[in-house]
Amino acid sequence: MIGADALLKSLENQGVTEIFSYPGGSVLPIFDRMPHSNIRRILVRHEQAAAFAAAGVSRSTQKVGVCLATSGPGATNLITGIADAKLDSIPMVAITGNVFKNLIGSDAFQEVDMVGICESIVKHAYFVEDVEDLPRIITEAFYLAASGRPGPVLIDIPKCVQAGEVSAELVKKIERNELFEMHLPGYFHEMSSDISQEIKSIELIKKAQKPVVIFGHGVVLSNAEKELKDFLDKTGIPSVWTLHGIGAYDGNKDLSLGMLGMHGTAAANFAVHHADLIIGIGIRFDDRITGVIKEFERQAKIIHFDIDPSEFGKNVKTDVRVCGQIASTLPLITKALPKNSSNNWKDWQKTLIEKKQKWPIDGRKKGKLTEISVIEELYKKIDQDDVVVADVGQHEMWLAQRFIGKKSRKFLASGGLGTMGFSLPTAMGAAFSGHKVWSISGDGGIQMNIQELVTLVQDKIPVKILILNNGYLGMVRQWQELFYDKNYVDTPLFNPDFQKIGEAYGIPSFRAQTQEETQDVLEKMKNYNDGPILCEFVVEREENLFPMVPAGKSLGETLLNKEESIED
Amino acid sequence: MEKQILSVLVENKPGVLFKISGLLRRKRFQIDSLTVGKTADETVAQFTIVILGTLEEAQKTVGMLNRIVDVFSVEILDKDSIVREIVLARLELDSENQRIFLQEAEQKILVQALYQKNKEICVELIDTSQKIEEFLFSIKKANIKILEWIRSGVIAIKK
Repeated sequence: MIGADALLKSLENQGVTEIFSYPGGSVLPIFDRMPHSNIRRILVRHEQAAAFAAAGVSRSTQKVGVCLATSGPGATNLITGIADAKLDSIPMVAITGNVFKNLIGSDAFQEVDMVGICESIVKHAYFVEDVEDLPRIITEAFYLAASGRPGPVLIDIPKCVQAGEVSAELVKKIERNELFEMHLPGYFHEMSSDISQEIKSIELIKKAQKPVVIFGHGVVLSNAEKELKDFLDKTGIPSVWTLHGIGAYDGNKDLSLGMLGMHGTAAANFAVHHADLIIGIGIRFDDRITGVIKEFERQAKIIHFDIDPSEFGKNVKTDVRVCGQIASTLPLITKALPKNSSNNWKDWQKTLIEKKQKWPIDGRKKGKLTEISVIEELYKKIDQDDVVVADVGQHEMWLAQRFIGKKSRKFLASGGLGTMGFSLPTAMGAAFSGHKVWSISGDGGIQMNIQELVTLVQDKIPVKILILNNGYLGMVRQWQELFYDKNYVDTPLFNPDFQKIGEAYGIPSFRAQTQEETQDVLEKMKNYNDGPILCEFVVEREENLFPMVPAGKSLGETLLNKEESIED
Repeated sequence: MEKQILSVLVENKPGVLFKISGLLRRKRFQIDSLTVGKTADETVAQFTIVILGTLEEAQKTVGMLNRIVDVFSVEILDKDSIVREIVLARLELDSENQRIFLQEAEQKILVQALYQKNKEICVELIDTSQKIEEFLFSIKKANIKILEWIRSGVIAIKK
C-alpha cells in the first residue's frame, strides 16, 4: 500500500462517496489508484468548480464535501472556492498535490506554497511530511471541518508522500477502519459561557416591549431548527432572518417578517430598527444586515447566541453573550420563559403584522417578462425538497426575498464572499443530495463557470439551469444608475446565444421571452430528470432591486423604491 | 499610544509564528514587540506580544487568536506584571566623562560590561522597556556613539 491508497481508504472510512477533481503531474499517484476505490470521481473542467461543488455537497447535506487538485495552478484555482467556503463557514476538505519534498522551496515547476497562501482562508491547513501521518491527518481534517464553527481544511500532500510505502502496521489499522487518535491539543471547539448569560437573557426578554429575533446560518449549521421553532412558537417573538438563515424557520407565519438587511423586506428592517431587544441567533451581525452600526445599536439591547466567542462584540456591542451550541443553549431560555410572555408585546406584534401587509414584497410589472416574474413562476413550480442555488447579484436577492420553503439547506447562495460563477458548480455538488436542483444565474455569472456544462452532461448530473439574461451586470448597473449618474461602464454585456451554447454541449435547451413560454418551459424543466436541462430567459433590461438600504444609511432609511423610504 | 501585552501559549511546532503574525497583520493590529520561546515543557511555546492599542482592541485579538487550532490559551497581562527586555549594545567611549557617565548609569539600570576593546565597550542591559528607552535617551544626550543596539523584545510574567 502506498500513500495514495492510504488517502483514498481513509476518505472512504470518513464516508466520502464522491470527489470533485482534476488531474495533474503532482497528483498522478492518487489518480493512478482512484479506479480501485469506491469513491466516484467527477472530472470538473476548472478546479474552481471542484471547490464550489464540494462545498455544494456540504451546503445541501450534512456531509463534508471533498475536492482534489494538482499543485501550482490547479491548487491556486481552488482558492476562490475555498475562500467562499471560509466566509460562509462551510465544512469542506480540499486536497492538493505538491512537488517532491526535496524540491519544496526551490520554485520548482508548478510549485506554490499552498499552506501559506491559504493561511487566512482556511480553518486549518496541513502539509503532510510523512506518509505515516496521512490517516491521522484525514481524521483530524474531517473533524476540524465539521465541528465547532465549521470551515474548510486544506491538506497539501507532496507527490513523494503519495507514492511512499505505508508500514505494514498502518495498513492493518487502515484496513480494519480503526480509529486514528487525533492530536489537537489546542482545539477547544465546545466553548460555553457560564449560566449567568442565560439568566441575563431571560431577564432582558421578560422586560422587553419590542423584541425581535434575527436568526442565521448558525442555526442551520448546528441543526438547531427545532430548538429555534420551539423558542419562537412559545414566545411569539417576531422573527427575521439572514440570507443563510432562510428556511430555518417557517417563513409563512404571520410573525415571520422576511430577510433583513441591505435588500431585506421593509417589515424586517422596520422591526429591527424599532426593536428594543434584538436577539441574534447564530448570526455574525455583518455589514449587509446592520446598515450603519451606530444606528443599529441605538436603542436596542442585544443578546447574541453563537458558538464562536470571537464573534461577540466583533461588529456590534452586545449586552449578553451566550456561547455554545444553539441546540443546547436556546432550550434553557425557552423553558424558563412563561407561556404568556407574548402579552408584553401584543401591540408590537400587531404593528409588525400591519407593516408586513402594508409593504408586501412586490415589484412585478405587467406585460414584459421580468426577472421577478420568472422567479415568481419558478417558486410556483418547485417542491419543498427542491434545492435552489442562486448566483450573485439582483436575481440572488429577488430569490432570497421570495423564498417560500420551510426547510433549511434548500436555498444556497454565496453569502460572505459574493462570488459570481457560484451557482452552476454549487448546484452540481448539491445534486448529490438526491434532491432536484435548480441553478439560477444571470448572463454575467453563468459565463464564469460555463465550462461545467460539459461535466454535467458527461456525468448526467440533473441540474435545471436558468439563465436570466438582461444583458447587464444588473446589480452593478443599478448602483451606477443610482450613485454614478447612469454611467454604465462595462456593465452592458455582449452575450453569446445561450440556447445554442447549451445545445452545443448536448443539453436540451430553450429560450423563453414571454410569460406563457416561461410557464411552459419551467414545467418541462421540472419534469426532466435525465441530466441537465437549460433555458435562457430574455428579461427586461433595467429592472431595479428594492427594498434597498444605500451604503452608509440605517435600516430605518430603507428605500421602498427610488422615491419612497419606510420613514415616509 | 497605549500598549497591551498578550501572553500566548501554543503548540510548539513549525508554522505557528506565521499564523499568529498573519492574523495580527490581517486584523491590522500593530505589533510593537513579539518574542517567542519554548516553555519548560518543550511541546509548548510561549509568545509575548506587545500590541499598540486599547484594551478593547486587545480583547478582540484574544478570541481571534484562540480560533487558531494550535493556540492553547491567550491572556492579556495586567499592568502590574513583571516586564523585561534585554539590550545588547556596542558603544564607543571617547572621553573619561562618557566613561564616568556610563558607570553612573549602572546605578539606575542593570548594565553589565561584556567586553572592552580600546574605546569600544559591549554592554548588556536588562530592564523594563521604559527604563531602556530612558537609558538610550541619556546616552544619546551624553554624545556616546552607538555602534550597535539590539533589543530582544519584551517578555513578561504575571504576578
